[in-house]
Amino acid sequence: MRERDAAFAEYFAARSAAMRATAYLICGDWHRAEDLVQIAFTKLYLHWNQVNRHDALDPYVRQVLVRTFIDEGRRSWWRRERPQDTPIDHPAPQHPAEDRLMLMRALAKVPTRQRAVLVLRYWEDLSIEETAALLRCSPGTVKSQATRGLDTLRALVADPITTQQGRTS
Amino acid sequence: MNEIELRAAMRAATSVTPPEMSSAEAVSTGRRAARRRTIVTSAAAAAAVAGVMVAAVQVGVPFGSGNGSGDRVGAGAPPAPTVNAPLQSTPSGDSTKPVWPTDGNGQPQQDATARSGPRYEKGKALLDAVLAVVPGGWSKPDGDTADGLPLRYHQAQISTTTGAGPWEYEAYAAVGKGGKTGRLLAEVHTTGNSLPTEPCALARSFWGMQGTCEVRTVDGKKVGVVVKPTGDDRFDQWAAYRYPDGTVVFVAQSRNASTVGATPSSLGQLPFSATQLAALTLSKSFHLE
Repeated sequence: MRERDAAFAEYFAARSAAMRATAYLICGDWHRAEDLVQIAFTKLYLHWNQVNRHDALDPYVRQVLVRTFIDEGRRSWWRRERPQDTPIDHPAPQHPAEDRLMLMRALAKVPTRQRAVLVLRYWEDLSIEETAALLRCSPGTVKSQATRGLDTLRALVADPITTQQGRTS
Repeated sequence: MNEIELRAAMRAATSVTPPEMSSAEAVSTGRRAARRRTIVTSAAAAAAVAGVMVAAVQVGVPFGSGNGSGDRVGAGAPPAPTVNAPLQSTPSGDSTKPVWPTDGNGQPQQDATARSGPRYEKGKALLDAVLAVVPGGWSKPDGDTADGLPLRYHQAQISTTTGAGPWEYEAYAAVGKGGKTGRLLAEVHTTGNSLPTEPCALARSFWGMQGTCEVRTVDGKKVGVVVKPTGDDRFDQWAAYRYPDGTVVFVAQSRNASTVGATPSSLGQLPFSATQLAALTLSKSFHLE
């Protein structure tokens, strides 16, 4: 157990922040992102002796994380939780809060699977084939969802203030 | 918004983050989940046993006799996802149950890791080989970090669940200088592995880590070296070489002895240059079968 715990702890320390960022981009809330990361890493802990090849760890955790999110999306979690209006305290943010929230608000309006495709393709840099395998769909579906997702985002962020006001009325 | 703008926006959106999550808490949560699963699996197995026994009594068949179906006491239990579960289900066909090689004690391995026998000894020998290449003037600290992580470690594990190879050997050791400590690691994948052949693709396959890769030529052989990682602090540099027989050797070095919790002070300088690291992949002592 000690060896497993040590190796697991080291992997968690190295990769949990990156996985949390991915989770945040697809779910829009840091607290929920941490929940998703915890769920994914707990499953990894349980299966550690079967997947402890280092090159297989990231794909495994990413897969659990994204699929858990999509499954929960069916219960409309995103509609209940909104991106935080007050960003987490930070002494000197490099990017204005409004810039950060603009993307998250726009992503919130992108359908769940399209959002997952956008994050996997353009944040995680997965190939079309890798994304298709993770989401259990065809490469053609990944391509079309990426295109649609980008189109949706493009429309939403073209004039964000007008868009936000117009859609909240 | 195009792809480039989306990437930039995503970077901006994640530029302010909460405090790091705790590794210790993640381990504790994992342990609790493992305990819960053990209890649930045991209870389900006990219920299945009871059910089968009741059925056997009702039809007058001695428990465990007949065509063998009575032996499948775990068949009603939920599938046991790991090899450490107390009772493995044995559905008919049993095609997904892992087959582990025989360990040094004559029994099947508990999981992918060899804990005794010739494979275990090869992992141990790899650690000796790592220690042997530590440059003069560098110390080789032993023991644990403040968080209880071992400063030296070796493992031999089979990479498939069918009982056949290839095998993977990993060993690492802390290296120190001037009161600061880093880490040197070697990982060997025996012939038959499915790792990439192109040197940089091979290097980038190491632990799924990415980074800036250069091809170095050592004695006429092409070695992929990631000289600067991207978004990962487990290692600062690593090199990868595939022998003509298919054996793959990775050698990695880090300024940190560990990436978890309280660790010894980090090295200011790595033990090896990128070219020296590339040359290490060709060491005979790392070429394991």
